Amino acid sequence: MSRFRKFTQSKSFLLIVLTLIILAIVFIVEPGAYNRGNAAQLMATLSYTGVMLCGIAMLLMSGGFDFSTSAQASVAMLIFAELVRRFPSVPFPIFMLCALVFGVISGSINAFFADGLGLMPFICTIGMSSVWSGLAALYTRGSTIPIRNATFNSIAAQYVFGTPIPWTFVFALVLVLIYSGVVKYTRFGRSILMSGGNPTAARLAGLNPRKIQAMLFINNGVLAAVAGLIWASQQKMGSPTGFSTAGADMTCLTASILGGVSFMGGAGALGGAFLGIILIQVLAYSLQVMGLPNWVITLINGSLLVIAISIDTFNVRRRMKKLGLKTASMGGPRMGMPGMR
Amino acid sequence: MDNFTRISTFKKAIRSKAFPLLILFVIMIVLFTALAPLNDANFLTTRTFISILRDLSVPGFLAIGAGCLMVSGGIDLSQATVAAMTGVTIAVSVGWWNLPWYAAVIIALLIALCIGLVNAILVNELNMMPFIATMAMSTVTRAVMMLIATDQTGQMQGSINYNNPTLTLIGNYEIGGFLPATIIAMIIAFIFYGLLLSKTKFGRSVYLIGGNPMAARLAGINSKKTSYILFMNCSLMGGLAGLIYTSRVKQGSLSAMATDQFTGLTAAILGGISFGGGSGGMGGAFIGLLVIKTFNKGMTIIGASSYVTNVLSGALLLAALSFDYYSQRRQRKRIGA
Repeated sequence: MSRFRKFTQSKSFLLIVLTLIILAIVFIVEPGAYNRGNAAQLMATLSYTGVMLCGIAMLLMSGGFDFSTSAQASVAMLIFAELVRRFPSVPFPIFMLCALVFGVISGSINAFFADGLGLMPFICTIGMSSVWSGLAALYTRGSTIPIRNATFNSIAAQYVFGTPIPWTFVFALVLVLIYSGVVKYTRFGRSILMSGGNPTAARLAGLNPRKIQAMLFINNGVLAAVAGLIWASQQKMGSPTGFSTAGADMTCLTASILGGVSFMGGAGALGGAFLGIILIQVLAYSLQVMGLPNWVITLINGSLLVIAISIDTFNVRRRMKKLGLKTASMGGPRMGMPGMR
Repeated sequence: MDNFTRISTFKKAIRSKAFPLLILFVIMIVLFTALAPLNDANFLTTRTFISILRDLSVPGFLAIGAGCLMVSGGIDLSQATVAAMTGVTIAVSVGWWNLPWYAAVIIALLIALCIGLVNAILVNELNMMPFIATMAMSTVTRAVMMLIATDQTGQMQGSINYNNPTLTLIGNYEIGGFLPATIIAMIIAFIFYGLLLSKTKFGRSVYLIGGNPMAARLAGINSKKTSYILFMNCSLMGGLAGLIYTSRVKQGSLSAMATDQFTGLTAAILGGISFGGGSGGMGGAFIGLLVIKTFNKGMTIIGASSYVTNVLSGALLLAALSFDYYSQRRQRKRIGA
């Protein structure tokens, strides 16, 4: 099969075509929407969700998930905002480092529960999400912390040579490329996919699936903190609810599955996931620009997740059938949760 | 056999998972009673306990539905959204469309059953993981709720008021002027479902499906049918909780019961219904819920902010999970697996 034909049959191609179709519809219905402001706003959203996506997609490949990603991002940026407010004379990169250290700590806590104790990642991260967002609300009493550091605030407002593309978007893109390279071309990346797809086989091959997943949990915490900092720079404040109301982690989950990162672990590429998130954000923006009511947007978001997962489950079953494996243990009335070992 | 019968009921009670919870319950009562005077309040009164039970009756129904489902190894995260949906449907039917109250209640509960049916179809027919299928359904339900709550001018209302004395009475009627009827309803429901699980053939099959699905299939149990029943029952219980809640606050709210999303789940795990199914019962779930709500009430009485309670409820879920993990491991060790 030629390279071109292979590409036209891939999921990525489908995602690109869908995105272009949506853009075309918007162009017909609401041509005025094609302006610099909208493009810049879309790019701004893509830059922090793109960073977050890298962490979540990598974790999904290893068969885990982190529902506390948004909460971690919120706490990280609140730590940064509060430190900058308290000590305005200290150079702010030190505080950015503090936020990243928080990411390492929170990621380690998740790793402890999910991989140390062997609890289901899905449930224990829900508990952690409630702890972090509760702490954030407790400290701020529900209000936001403004950031008055001009240098920090201008980070997200730096555009590439006058285009509406911010440097933060380029940063996200580079991260996606790096992580995708790690998955595709390194031994570690291969071992992530293997331990996600078949933990028993991975263990027999001398890998340590729990250790690999623990590393990815910490990685996810750090990337969540980075995403939080990008958001803080864009909004010039730290907010306890900014991420959770946007549901950024669920968006990343949907995007990953749309892009071919399997929910059962062990498959997928980051490039597809990134195209998935572009599709979702373009869709969300288009719906808003076209003035559709809020419930339609929520409905489409929910259905998109259902559809993406149905396709994923179908693909996994087909693959298993081809290999002659039983599929009874996959889903069904049982939990069949990935990460249960 | 002789050895079996010799273990007295007393010993059995001490060994059960609910026993540490009872101790925890007593400790909390002592602690809150001692701390309450610091906030110029009194903890150890009849009023406190009636109010705890009253707080308990709404999440009680959630815990019953979630608990039964979890015994069979399933899980439903859309339950609290279903409850909010029921409240909004009732408020809109009565407040905007002027339907009689019983019609509103029937429509709302039918919608709840339908959501449960869709959950069951997604899980059983499309083989999706219950966790994520119900999470997505929760979003879809929220969208429908937003649509229903949109008035003629196209504005979405966060909360819809209604004025119907009969409907208001459902959640607020007090027997003898002090004992809320919902408490009695909740206790009856707990006993009914407790007996259903422990004494009937259906209940036994639920445990078998949760404990060993393969053995259940070989024993000729129709696990698909059971799963359908339990998912629909779970949503129906969510609907009942929503009905009581909406009747109490005299309005339907889009954000109703958002804080109770994981209360039923936490209570069930605390009470010994473990993840992956096959163990625990309604009694344990009730005591688990009692501990959670006593804790919340006590925190309010000694004057802690609601934010602290939020943090600690997450910590409680994690603690319950870890506890569940350790006791499961101990059990596995004992039987040598």
